[in-house]
Amino acid sequence: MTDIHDEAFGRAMVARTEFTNEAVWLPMLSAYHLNAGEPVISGKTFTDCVIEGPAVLVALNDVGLDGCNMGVTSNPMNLMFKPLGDKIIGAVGVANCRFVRCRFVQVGFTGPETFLNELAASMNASAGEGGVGA
Amino acid sequence: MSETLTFQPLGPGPDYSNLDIWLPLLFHEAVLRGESVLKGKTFTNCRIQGPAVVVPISGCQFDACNMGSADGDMRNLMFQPLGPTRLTGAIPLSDCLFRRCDFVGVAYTGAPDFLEQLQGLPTGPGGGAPA
Repeated sequence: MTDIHDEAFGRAMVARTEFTNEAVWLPMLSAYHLNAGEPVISGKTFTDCVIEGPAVLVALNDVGLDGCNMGVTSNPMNLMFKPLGDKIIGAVGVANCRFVRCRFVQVGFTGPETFLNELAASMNASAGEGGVGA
Repeated sequence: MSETLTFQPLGPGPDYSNLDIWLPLLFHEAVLRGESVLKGKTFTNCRIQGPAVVVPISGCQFDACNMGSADGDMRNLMFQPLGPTRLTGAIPLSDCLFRRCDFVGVAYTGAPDFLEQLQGLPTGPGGGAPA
């Protein structure tokens, strides 16, 4: 058993760059990064993972989504939030990350309007049974 | 993350006093109990921590709370939902009372009138916003 409050375990999670075939609890991974003084989850590749919320993800820079299921909804816009201020607080910042064939559960998305529109358009284009893709 | 993870549960409440409340964990516990909303809880003198976006759906009160460090602009703590029906990724609250709580890393979303109400709040000491 692992104590998730253990600092060494948290730092090990921050240092990892590859996550494969795992369930990733996004708020927890974010908390590890915040505790390590890193406000953003950066430089990781997630392959065939389940990315679990509740969380709102903000893609800050160079985030790739390849063959992912973004969540179950009839309308991709139900996954989207528009920030009302110049800064974003409360969301999980992600940069320089790849998500390959991942499934997002209870995760919303925010960021610049162009990003949200592009994401929604890609979801519409690939919407399928059991979720919308990207 | 293939190992078994352990943590101290916060429990079902409904009263929480003088505690650090990590909202994702509190909601996770509620989901494990088969609940989809944090309902009927009272938080007194608690530090409510994110990262999280909350959506008060009915009957929530914030009494003498610090809503968070907004960097001088409450809008930095707010998100407008773009979907027409449901919200994904936000933590729903119903009939919850927050008394003298400090919110850290928590943002707010919901109906336009709620966001408007929140927007009108002055930012408090240290960039926080009392409600």
